[in-house]
Amino acid sequence: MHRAGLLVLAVVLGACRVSSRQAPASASLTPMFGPVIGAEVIGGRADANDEIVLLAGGVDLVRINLAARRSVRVRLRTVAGQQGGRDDCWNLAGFADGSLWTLKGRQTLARISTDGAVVSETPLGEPYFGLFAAGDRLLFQRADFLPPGPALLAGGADRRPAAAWSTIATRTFPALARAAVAALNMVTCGSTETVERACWFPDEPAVFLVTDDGSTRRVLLPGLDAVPPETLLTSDNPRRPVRDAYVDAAGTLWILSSGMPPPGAAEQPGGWLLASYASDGASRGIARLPEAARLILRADTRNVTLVTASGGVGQVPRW
Amino acid sequence: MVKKTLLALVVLAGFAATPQTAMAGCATDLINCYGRAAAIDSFWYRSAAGLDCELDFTDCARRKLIGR
Repeated sequence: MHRAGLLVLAVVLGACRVSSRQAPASASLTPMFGPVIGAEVIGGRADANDEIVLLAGGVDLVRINLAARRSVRVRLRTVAGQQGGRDDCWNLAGFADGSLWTLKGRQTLARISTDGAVVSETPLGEPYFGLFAAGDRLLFQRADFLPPGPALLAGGADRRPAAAWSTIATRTFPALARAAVAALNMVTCGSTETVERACWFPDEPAVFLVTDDGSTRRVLLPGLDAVPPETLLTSDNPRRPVRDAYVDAAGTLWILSSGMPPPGAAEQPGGWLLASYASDGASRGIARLPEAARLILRADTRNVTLVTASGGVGQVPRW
Repeated sequence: MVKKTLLALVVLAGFAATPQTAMAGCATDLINCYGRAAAIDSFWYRSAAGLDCELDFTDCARRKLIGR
């Protein structure tokens, strides 16, 4: 009898243990604060000390402090911006020393401060599509109209693009025009709390996990649908297998994926699926969100914090 | 004139080969831009203008494909 009781207890505890690791079919999203951002495109994200900095609409910085549950928006004070025009910026790269960088236009690397001031500008001499940070190096995405070739270049000591970083290579699409191919070869890199960061192409249900020194491995993401390039290119709000990726301190990979909106939901930018994977790509479950989300701000031992489609910050319990 | 028309046709045909590459306004803008570029007399300026058109397209597409 005693043994049977222990067996029942073990089964129950085992079931609890398993259920705590399973993704809920539908995740609950608890609002925290906000809205912190409007409908403008989030063109970049960087972690700066206690704050997460977003580039909003190419012209504003939004500094989010999760601990204090508040955000501050400042205008980037570029020369054109101060003269009534606008200098659109794209991407943010932040370093541990607090420095923050962006691409101004296509051909200028700008160092900026979190209060929006432009500290310095460096002409790059040729166009680039993207800018990220890895370790203490800047990463540049070449404007590549003639693939295949290295997708990302690491900056040298002078911060200018110098050498290929990682083995991510741009892809050929023989049936598509040059400009469409260039667009499909644009890479995004997500945030990380480990030595590996996730980078991805817009059409693939897969990420490249790349260390600071450029070592690269490709991880397929089961359960997420690939999107044919033609479909991706023909939509105004394309469904993307990977909208954002975040590697948490335990090495768990969190993916925000477009999924399908519920029937009757308004068409809006954002992902309806939050997926979790082990670092080898083994699925730990995919949960549907009650509201579309645009960005993964953080994933800690208890929650995954998101920017929602309505611009607020909310938390989903991790599984 | 014949050369310019041919160039315009080539670039437009190249883009039209993309199955319905009509990412809302991005592709329309590209085709219009190609049209303006094709009207430039100098070969080199015409080519440079064509490249600028493609870069403008990728700026537009970038917001939709990888913007968050």
